Amino acid sequence: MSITSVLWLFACSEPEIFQTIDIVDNEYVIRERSIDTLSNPDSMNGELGDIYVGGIFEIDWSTGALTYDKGRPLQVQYQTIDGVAHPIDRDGLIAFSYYAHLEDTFLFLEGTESSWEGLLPMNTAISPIISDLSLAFLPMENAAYVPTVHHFLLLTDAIPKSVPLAANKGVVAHEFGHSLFHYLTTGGTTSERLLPVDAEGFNSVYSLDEGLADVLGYLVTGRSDFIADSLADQDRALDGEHRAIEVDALPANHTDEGLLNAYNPYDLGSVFAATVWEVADATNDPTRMLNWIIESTRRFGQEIRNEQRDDDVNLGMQWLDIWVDVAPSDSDGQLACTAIESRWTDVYEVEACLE
Amino acid sequence: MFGMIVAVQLASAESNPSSQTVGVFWNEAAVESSMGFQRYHHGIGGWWQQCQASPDSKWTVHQPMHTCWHHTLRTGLNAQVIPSSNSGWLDTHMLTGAITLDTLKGITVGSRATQIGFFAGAGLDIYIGGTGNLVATVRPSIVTEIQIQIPFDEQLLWISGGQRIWLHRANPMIGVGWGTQW
Repeated sequence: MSITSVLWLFACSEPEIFQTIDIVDNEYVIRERSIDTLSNPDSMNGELGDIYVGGIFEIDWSTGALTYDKGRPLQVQYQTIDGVAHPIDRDGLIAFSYYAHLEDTFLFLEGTESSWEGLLPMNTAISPIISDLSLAFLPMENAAYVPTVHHFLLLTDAIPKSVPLAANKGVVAHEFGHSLFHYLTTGGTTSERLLPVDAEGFNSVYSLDEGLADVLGYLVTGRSDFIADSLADQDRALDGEHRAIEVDALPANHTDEGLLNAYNPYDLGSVFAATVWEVADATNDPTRMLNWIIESTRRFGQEIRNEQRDDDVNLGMQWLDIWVDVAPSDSDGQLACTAIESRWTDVYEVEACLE
Repeated sequence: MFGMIVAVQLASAESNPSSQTVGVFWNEAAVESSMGFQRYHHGIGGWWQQCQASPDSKWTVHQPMHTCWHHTLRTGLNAQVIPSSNSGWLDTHMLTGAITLDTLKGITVGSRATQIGFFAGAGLDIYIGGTGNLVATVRPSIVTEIQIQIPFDEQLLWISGGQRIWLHRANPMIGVGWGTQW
């Protein structure tokens, strides 16, 4: 080994470009790109938030409040060559990719007419200890948003995959979508959830949350089946044949007999997502669609908080009424009604579409 | 009392005043990744150990104690799948390698049939990887190791387990090998 090589081992200048797993020409590859919001790549700190390893999510059983006792900072192993940060291991590649996807998602939000004051920073906990039962039973591999503590949560991939969940741009945008839903519907980031878990409308609103998160994943990536890049066995493609009448257990028919809420929100969530996708695909203007969804969701939250809408098992579906009501144009409203009619027949009707 | 201690020391020194072992082993070692997960590296290693009968030994003739220097070189590889527009194995996998160099000091106790060693010392971890370019970092470690040595004439079966420790990390490692002693 020459002297130059030895020096190179210890050299570490500030990188401007990062190796990431990202989409180029409609496929995931290793891509070199800038991440302007990442100020310290060694420990992954930046404008969007900081990333920690471990730590504990604790619940105060008297109040139900959740807190995060943060873990240690990341220690990303990389070397900078000609201004490009080369991660030494795959987890470094994932860490850079995750931050890059967060950045792309937030940039997409910044392109809308809304103000995002207070939404950032949003920290991330990797494999923390979780004392909240409803979170502790998450699948072994997952990415999640933890409302009220306003944190993302990442677990390792149990099954090796070429596009890990945390490096899947659509999945990262999906999780960001949950934070957005909480922010828009409750008016804050650490505010209480829109509905308590024992509310009649909890399951339908839970499905709406999942569906709109899928829509954000689609709008950011342009991929209607973005989850399949990481998990091929999920029936979650937005352009799929999702109809409410075919959902196994609709909120109105679901009986919860166990200690934990066992309702599967994804099937009905896919119906919400497919409904919006049908219109987004026809109009082909992602930012305009996002503005429309933001306005609908913000108003949906306000009307529930102001008790203009009663708790009801189909409360989540009432978002569709608002969506049609605030459509940017008559033609958009008509497209929305057509999509609702094809996806929700015999389950839910939007009165404005019947006129 | 004084006479008995002298007798034990003489007996211990006479039983095996100095010895050396050298051998190779299969290495399984965890390396803490950039996201704080332990990723297992598989490979081979080699050791060289020099022992002296301990003059301070208070063990009996049947349980002699030796003080030893132990040097180890370990190598390990790990491959994880990554996306690529090409389909070749090397294109779709990211390889990381770990080379560690340890110098440990410790003691061995036990009979001629089986000896147990307790070691601690310093290690240097070279972590190599990257996609496109080969890149590396060097990290120090405090190393602890417990060894079991089972001699068969001039040969010996060597089993070891230990930890590589530094701030925020404690990575386990194990080795099973075969060596020779003289």
